[in-house]
Amino acid sequence: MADPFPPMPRRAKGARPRFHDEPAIDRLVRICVGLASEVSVLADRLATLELLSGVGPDAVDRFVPDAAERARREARREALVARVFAALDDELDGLRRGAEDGDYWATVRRIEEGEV
Amino acid sequence: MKRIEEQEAHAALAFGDHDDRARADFAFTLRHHVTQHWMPGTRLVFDARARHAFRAARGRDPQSPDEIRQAMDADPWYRFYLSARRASQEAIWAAVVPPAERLGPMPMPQRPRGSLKLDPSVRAPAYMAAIDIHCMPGGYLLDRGEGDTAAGAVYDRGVYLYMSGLMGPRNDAVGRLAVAHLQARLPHFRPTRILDVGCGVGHATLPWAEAFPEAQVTGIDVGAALLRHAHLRAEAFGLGVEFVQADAEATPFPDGAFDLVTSAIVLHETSIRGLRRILGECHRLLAPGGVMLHVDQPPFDPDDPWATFLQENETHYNNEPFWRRFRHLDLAAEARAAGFGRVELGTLAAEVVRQSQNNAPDDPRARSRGFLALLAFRDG
Ligand SMILES: C[S@@+](CC[C@H](N)C(=O)[O-])C[C@H]1O[C@@H](n2cnc3c(N)ncnc32)[C@H](O)[C@@H]1O
Repeated sequence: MADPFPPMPRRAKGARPRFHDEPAIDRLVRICVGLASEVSVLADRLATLELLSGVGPDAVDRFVPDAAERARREARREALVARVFAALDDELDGLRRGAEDGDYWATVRRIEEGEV
Repeated sequence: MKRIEEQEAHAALAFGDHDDRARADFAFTLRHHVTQHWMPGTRLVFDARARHAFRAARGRDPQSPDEIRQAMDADPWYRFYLSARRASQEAIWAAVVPPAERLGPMPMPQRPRGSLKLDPSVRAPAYMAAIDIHCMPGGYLLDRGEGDTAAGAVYDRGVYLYMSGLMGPRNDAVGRLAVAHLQARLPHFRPTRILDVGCGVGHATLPWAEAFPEAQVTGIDVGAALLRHAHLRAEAFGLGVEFVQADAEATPFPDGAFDLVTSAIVLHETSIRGLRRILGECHRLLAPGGVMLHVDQPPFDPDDPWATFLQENETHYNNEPFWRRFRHLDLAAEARAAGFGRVELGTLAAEVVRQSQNNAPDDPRARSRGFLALLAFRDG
């Protein structure tokens, strides 16, 4: 059944603050957090498999994926890359929708001063 | 402090599959690490480096929160910390949005104890639409049509992770604190018509329904998807609550319709104008002799510029536009200006509060800090 709902936004309204003079560093921080998350997910998944299956490391080393399994893995890696490097896409997304975000501090001021 | 016990499952909650859960678990771990290991490290950085660098340039120590900020902003570790802290906040939402998104339209309960009244003509105040508070993508207002509960599902999971589980398996620690405070202060008061304004998904609403089972309990919020989730959740827990889509600044209820009007962690997310209108509306909605109780972040302590500096970071870096101004307000004076005669301020201290205070957990002063309870009485 097709999902009737449009996708949810992945990025919060409001400009992302800059913490480093060199913006690449903030991007790298996000990427590292994303990677750490994925590594943690994998470690949990492995632990689950070991618990449930009792399959040893030799059998894992001998295994070669067939075409269908290769396709599944490729799709999974693509999704992983999109998640880990979301910082780059977000920035493009922000540029595209820049007009919507307005100026964060102008909004804070309007809220603090009771204009809205 | 954290609590590893999993959040209590219910019909509307979306945990997702194995990897969604593992991603949420990681966001939980990282958030706790940020608040318990890195945040206290900021004080170390200040004492070991930032303070001296400031003194070398200015001939004295930084004193005000703004001067502390200037000193800290120059420190490379601190900048890296801020950057990672922001990313950890984003990691929470990145973990909980996808399983919520996959929910699709949720069927509403057939024979509910309570009810759900949505009103598409309700317009959200500008402060809700302008910025997504605490960086939650889509904010409180995201509504993709009939049966959409995703914003509620995202908020429900996000609160649990953000608060390191200290809100309890039902995310209701703040509501329970509010109920306990009212019962301690007014042991003979048995409200029969209770209104929870800005109820969200009902985390603080259900404790009122539990404590006063004979009362008619109503929750209002602007977010339709939050309210659908709230309705499903209350029914799943067997509690009858009336959820109504309404703006707390101008509700559809007649004068004097309630004998208790309450809110939990709502006022700091409004605006100076919104807050004043909400207090005025609470006054109008209360019957003579009625009680108003708001629980929220306490005012800043002028004797603790370090804590103020840390707390103001929520406005600087976590999309909390009103937080900073709110905490400089004299709420008792605001309540009096809204027409309340007798006003009492109280402090509610608990583990969950310390987590949300964003304070140095090793500072002994943090122990005695708590949420602010604003209790006010409408003249009889
Ligand atoms: C931090 S949440 C707290 C939700 C709930 N009280 C709890 O304790 O979990 C703030 C809530 O206030 C609501 N809110 C803010 N301004 C409002 C207004 N003017 N009218 C109705 N609801 C409002 C938001 O939609 C959001 O659900």
